[in-house]
Amino acid sequence: MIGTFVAVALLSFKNRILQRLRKLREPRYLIGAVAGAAYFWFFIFRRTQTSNPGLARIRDISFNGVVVDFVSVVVLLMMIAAWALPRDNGGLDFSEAEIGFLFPAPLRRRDLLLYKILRAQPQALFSAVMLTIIGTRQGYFIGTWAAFSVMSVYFTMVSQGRARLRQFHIGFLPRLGAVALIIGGLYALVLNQIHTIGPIKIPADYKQMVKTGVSTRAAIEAFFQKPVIAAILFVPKFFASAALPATLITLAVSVLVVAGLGVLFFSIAAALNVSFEEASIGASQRKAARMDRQRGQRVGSVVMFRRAPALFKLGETGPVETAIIWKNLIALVRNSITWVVILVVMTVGMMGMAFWSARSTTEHAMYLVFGGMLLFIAGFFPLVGPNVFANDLRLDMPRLEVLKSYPITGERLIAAEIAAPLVVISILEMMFASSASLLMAFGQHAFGEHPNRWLGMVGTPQFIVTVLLLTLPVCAIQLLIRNAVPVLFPGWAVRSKDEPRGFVMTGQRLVTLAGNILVLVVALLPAAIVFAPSLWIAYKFFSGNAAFVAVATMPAVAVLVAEFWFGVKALGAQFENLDVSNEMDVMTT
Amino acid sequence: MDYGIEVSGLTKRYDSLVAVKDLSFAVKRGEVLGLVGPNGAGKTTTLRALAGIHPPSDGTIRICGFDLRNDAVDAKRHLAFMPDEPRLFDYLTVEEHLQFVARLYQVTAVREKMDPLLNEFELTDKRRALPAELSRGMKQKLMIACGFIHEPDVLIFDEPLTGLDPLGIRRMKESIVRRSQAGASVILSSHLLHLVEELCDTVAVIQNGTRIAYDTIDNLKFELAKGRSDLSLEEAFLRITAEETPAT
Repeated sequence: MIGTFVAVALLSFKNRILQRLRKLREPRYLIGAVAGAAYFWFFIFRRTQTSNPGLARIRDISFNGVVVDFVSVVVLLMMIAAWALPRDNGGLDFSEAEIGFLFPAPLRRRDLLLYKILRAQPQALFSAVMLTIIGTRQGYFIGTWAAFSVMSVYFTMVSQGRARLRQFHIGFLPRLGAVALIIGGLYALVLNQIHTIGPIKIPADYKQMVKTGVSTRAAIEAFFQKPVIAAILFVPKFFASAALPATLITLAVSVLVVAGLGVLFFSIAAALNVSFEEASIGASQRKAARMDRQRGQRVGSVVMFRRAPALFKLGETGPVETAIIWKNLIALVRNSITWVVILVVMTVGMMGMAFWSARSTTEHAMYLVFGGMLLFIAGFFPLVGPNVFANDLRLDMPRLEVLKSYPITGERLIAAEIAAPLVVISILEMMFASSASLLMAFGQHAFGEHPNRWLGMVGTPQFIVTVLLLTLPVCAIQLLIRNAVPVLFPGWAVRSKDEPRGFVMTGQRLVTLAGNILVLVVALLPAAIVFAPSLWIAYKFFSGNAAFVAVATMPAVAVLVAEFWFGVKALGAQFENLDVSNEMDVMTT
Repeated sequence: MDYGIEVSGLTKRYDSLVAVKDLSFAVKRGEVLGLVGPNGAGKTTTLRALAGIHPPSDGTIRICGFDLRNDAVDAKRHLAFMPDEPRLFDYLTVEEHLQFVARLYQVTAVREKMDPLLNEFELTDKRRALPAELSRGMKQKLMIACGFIHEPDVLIFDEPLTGLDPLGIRRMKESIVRRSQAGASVILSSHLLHLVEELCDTVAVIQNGTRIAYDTIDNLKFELAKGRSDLSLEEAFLRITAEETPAT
């Protein structure tokens, strides 16, 4: 039986890896993998190997006991706290396929438990190897693997133990009370032991002590060497030593002991013989629902306010686009209104704090602090906002088949899809920019007779006029770029259950973000080229009069509007030619 | 002859794979055509092409006389596509779905049309429910109700009875028959051959993207029966597809 289970676990792991490698034949995954690998290499792995003295010092920590002692404490607390978890039905984490095949099979509960433990090993081994690579120099993956695996067996045993206790009418509250009592007792014991050490003597050469930490370390080591403390941490210390061994002998001894504990924990879990099948089915369903919900939250498709009304009544006739806008505004109100409330409350709060802080004339700087923060938000919001308010074509991608059968041209559909989030994002952007401008205008008093020229410019009517005129087209272009992704690269925008995760997904996100920024910069460049001379004229010959600044902004606005119009036409044509057949399987899984 | 659907030389290629090859047929007003074939025969691809969901690689499709390639919007105004999997908007209620689709097709007097439809599909009590609150069968009914709200001249069903209970199946069959009798051209794909036999006037059998039989059900059965009078469409289908399947 063990041989079969090991074979299944290894085959599953091998097939998962092969499946991911095969996916790399598709450019979107390959590009994502390369970008993700580069990111992890340059920003994570290289940093851990860096010559940065601070990081190098952390990596070179000698496990003379202190670190191992602290890890032992954490392990101990986890072991005790596991008994205080509320769930006591004994449900274990099995996949739907495992439930379908293994539960009706002629297997004992002991075998199912064994399968669950063995199945988790390849992934645990992989995690241990990765942790060893990016972790400390003195760690060995074999020890980390043993520690992780046996802790997992321990938690399985505890979950079965909780279920068995329930059968003896010992529920959550009594367990919680017992755990609180044990932790309280241990705390009292620790305090008592600390008192026996006496006060730590700070040497005269204080700087030297801080630099080396010798005295502090000695005091801590002395504490952990107390017989009572050593006895309490006796078992957890094997786990810590296995993951962070000081020597190879320590590693060997710790791994052997931990493995023995693993056998013991497993035997206890099996002997408890808890009926976990039904609870496991429930747990599996809950897990699937949770994952669906999480995926929905990521793409903004979770309906949070089911009974929220439509923002306006949809008439029977009129432009078809109105129906799309109506639908998307409903989606926005029911799925994403929380964000609107948070952002408005945040802005009002910052304004309130700025005015409240600056009640006395001497604290005008607070205007600048909060104004600067709002200005920063206003700068980034056109980039971030379309991610938060994705109530457009991106939300409709799983229904693309139906959408394409509607009697509306591609360009009109694209324009209508963008309209609803555009309204909300633009209003919020105007709110941020106007609030920032207002606070900056008040904050000019902080500079006394020498106002800051650049900050002062933000607090002028000219700035407001420019922002108000430019916000709508800039946000529209940004939304167009975001909506272009599912049309031009549907595979990048829509995710299925078996999509590669990890660094491939990270890489895809990085590439998408970089592409987004690049396209946005390219799109804004012509407008900036037109805007600069016209603004110069407005300031040079018309003293920066707000009305003339508004006029000077118009050519840039016209360029952006033209770009948006051409973009919508091109994307609409692309949408009409989009062949959903290749992508439907991805979208519906 | 007045045709709702006219398909001529329809071909759909995916790189080297030819999903549908030179398919031609026509559906008169008031006629119900059954599209049958084994899994992977190209039925759904054909229906999606008819609904304007994906452009054909070759050939022409006319819906009520409008070329689907050149007059897509006019053609789509006359059709309704009901996919096998109900793809509803998670955030719209039953009633809002109907309002939304009605506006897309510029339907007037929506309320007068909506209430009987909700009643017909037993959704009256669920009019304020979101899709998440509906069973699979109810979602399917809503999807079909949305397709009926604009009283289309062409109805395209992909496995219309999936997920329906026996009463729902009977009502759905009645709905399809009623609409075809009112003059709608109906095309439906299904693996339920007794349903096809019961509802359809003509049948097109496709295999590997190619039409291998196309006739009225009676003619098809007559040709294959060779003197027998009790041959079912199921037996006829199995004989036709078996003849076309290359020996291995």
